[in-house]
Amino acid sequence: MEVRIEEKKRKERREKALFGQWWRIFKANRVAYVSLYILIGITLISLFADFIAPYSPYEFDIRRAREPPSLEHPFGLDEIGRDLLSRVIHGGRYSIGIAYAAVFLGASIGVILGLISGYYGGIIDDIIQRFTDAMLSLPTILLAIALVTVLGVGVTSLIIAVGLSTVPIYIRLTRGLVLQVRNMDYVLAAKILGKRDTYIIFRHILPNIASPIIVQSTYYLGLTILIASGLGFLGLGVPPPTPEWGAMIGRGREFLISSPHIVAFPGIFILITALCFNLIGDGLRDALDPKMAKYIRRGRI
Amino acid sequence: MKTVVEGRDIKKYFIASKSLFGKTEYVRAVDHVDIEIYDNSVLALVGESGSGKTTLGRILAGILKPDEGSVLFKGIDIYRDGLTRDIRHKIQVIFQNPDSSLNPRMRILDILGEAIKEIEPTISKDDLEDRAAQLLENVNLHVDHLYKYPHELSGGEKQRVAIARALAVNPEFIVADEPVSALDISIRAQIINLLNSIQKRLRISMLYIAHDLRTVWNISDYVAVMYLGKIVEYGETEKVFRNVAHPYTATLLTSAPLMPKEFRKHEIYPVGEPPSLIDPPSGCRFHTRCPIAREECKKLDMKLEEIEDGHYTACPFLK
Repeated sequence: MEVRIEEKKRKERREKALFGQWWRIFKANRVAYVSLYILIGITLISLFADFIAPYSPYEFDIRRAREPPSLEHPFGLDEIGRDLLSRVIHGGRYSIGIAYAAVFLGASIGVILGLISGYYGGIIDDIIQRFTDAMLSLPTILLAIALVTVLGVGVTSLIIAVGLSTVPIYIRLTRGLVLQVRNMDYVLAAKILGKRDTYIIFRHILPNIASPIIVQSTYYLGLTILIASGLGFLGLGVPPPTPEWGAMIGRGREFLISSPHIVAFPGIFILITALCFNLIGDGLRDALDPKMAKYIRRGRI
Repeated sequence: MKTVVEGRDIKKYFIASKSLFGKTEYVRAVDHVDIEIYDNSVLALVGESGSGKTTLGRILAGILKPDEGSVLFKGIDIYRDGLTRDIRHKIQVIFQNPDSSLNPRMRILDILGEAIKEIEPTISKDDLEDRAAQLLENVNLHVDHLYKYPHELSGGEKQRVAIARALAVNPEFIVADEPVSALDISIRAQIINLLNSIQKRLRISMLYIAHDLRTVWNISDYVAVMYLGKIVEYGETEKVFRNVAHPYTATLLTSAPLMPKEFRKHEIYPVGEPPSLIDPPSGCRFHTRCPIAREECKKLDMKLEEIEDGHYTACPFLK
């Protein structure tokens, strides 16, 4: 070989350049950028709840039940006298953890089924699509309630129920995207080179449809927090005394008038977290959209 | 002359419309066509849009199964016997539009590497980069392009990468499907010359699909002219251009801009618009647009007749 390559470092530079491009667009969206930091903050606080929470989330003092916020207990005490701040901090672990796990589960199953359905077509496609139709005929929250009823109450069953309820929409989304990419010449070129279907699906198709799926997943993280909280509110979520935000609101709602702080603080956190996910989703959508990438090359951002 | 690829009586109809009660309508993209590509030679397949030339090209490349007929690659029936990985590599395609033939999420190095790994699965990372650089060198591209993504390259550069990828697996037969029609006029000649020199140097057989007769003259040894799914004239390029024997070819030659006077023997132009492929005209399919059509053309069988050594035409009337 006469040709030799000296500058292997170029490789890394190129990779950085592509990453930098969408990161730059994302950063230009201030709202999404701030949301990301708030969310990272909430996630970190939940992760290190054991060290951050000032009190135990389970220890109660029934005599001080429903005490309003004070310096000693910034968020006040709940209906049986547990420190609400500690419960909200620990609750994030469940609420956000359930959301991540459920979306991961739903996306994994939905995307794989969507890839198979879209890529192979034919009878497999028909079967998967009729199954999707059946699942889509129920609203997501009803589907989740139905699943939780079947699976029983608990963290795992909540994750499975919420995760599975998002599967049909992932299948639809992925299948539609695959159909757009499947007939591109680079897929045909890979076939002509003799590449196998699994290679083509994961190397050529998935990377080209990943952006919309990532964006959708971000929105779904927000949505699943709401669904999980909704189930918790209805008493179908995690069993007591586990501090999950939805369940906390559900149990505090009897005292909504006399002690609104019991409902308000978990409510605010559900709101902020879901909102952040949605705002990040908007930012990612703009940043990962190839049409936006053109503007950046023209120097507008 | 040794034949590398042979298509025998190839037919491919696509379903145009299918209703529950009405009859199914077909687009007759390729309608019983015989074609041969010789060793180390270029056959140009010419015809207007919708004449079925891309379909025929894909059938010969082994990526679209014909309804009837067979394709033989060095004597092996590729659709009946199936393609082994080795034969698969011997037949490569260069697509019309390099924007869609290169994966936008892969660097040029990975695009070429994917092809190189087909023939050398255990190649080391460094050797792979050197091999890829070598391939770029062969198509006159700078090594720096290896680390770029397709969108950072110009149309001509992208098409060079596509050519390099096709060459990576040492093909013996290349189907070039209008490789320059998506490119700027200014760089077409460069790509044509590149293809030409690669074909000569590596002794590759090529099916060059085009609608631009100017490039056909430069690159091809043989020409087959296609009209509505049928081959109407076939022969050595020199003979077909100088001694045109089908009115459709003649109209193509006269309508092409900047065509030298010597090739414009018959100053005839086609009449009207191309008819539908779903319901093609009876007899000679060109008779509805032919300036020299006669009554008997409506019943004419489109059989290719040899009018001089190795020069065939489906029209007995153009003299």
